[in-house]
Amino acid sequence: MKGPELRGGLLGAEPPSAELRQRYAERLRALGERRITGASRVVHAVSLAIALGLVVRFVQLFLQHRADGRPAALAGLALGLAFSAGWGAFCIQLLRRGKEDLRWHGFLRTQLVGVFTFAMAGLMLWAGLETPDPARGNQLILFGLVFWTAIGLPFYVGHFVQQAELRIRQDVLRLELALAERNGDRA
Amino acid sequence: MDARASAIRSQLLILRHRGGDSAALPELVELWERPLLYYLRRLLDSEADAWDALQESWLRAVRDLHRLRDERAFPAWIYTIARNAAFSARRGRRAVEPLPEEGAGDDARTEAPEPALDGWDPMDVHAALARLSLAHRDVLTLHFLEGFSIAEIGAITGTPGGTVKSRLFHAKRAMRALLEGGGS
Repeated sequence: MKGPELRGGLLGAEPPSAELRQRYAERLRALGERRITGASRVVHAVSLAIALGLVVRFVQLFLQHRADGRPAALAGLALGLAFSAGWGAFCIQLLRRGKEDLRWHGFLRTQLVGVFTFAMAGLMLWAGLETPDPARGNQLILFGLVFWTAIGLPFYVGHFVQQAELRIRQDVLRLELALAERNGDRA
Repeated sequence: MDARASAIRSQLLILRHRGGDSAALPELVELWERPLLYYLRRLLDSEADAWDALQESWLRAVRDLHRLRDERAFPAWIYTIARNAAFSARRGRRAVEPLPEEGAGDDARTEAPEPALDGWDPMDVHAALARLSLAHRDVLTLHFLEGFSIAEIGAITGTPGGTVKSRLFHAKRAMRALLEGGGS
């Protein structure tokens, strides 16, 4: 009797109760979720109201300036509109579900804020280059550069390096797994 | 899937989880559900208690997974967590029962060759496990399920390597006696 055979035999020797397994699965699912009640419901409702208000305001500004506005300013308005709409949709989804998936919604929230602030810094650089007032332009460029180089760029470069490293390690492990499974079949 | 493949698949899933793949963690939980449940069932009296301990184990594991530096150590790490959850449950229920570390009495070293357990039917091994002492069930289940080394079993059970080695020897001898005796 080889190791894999014994392991498989032992694991198959005692089928688990379907009822207990179901209860366990339900409880485990609940571990990754947080109910939205009371104060957090109010916070999300207020956040939704602000997001919807901003959507309306950004649409108004965009329509007002679409003919005479500078491209960087219009892009800024469009970005603000997209972020407010995205944030509003996020709040609606949470309020409708009545619970927050701690991993997925946390990831979504981080991405929304991260992409918005990073893109906004880029727009500040663009607006700084475009603006006719040199003092104002330099100020915008300085703000954009400080954010990009000091905060945004290291974060994203670090993130991409980490992702690349994870991919390489996963590729190596996939090879190891294929070998282990082939050897397991032979055993 | 054998223990080695499970260990490598776990490493892959942990890397996917760290890369932000939200599907990886449920897959990891599913991959280890049956082996951990089997182990916990050997340590606890009822299946319901084993499921509760399994749930408690994942709660702790998910909370502390970011602290696990080397993904290769995952199998021993998760078994350590599961064992701790099981013994916490046991302490909660019966405070007076001696734990394996306290009452095994297997410290006597032996130079005799290790008892062979090859060729036995897994169902017989499963039945014989139920008749061993808790200390012997503990080390033998870890040894049979995952093929853990002496050092790994020592780390999981918090027992010195020499004690694990002799405990494993005595556990195998007891198991062999049960198997040869036809389970009687």
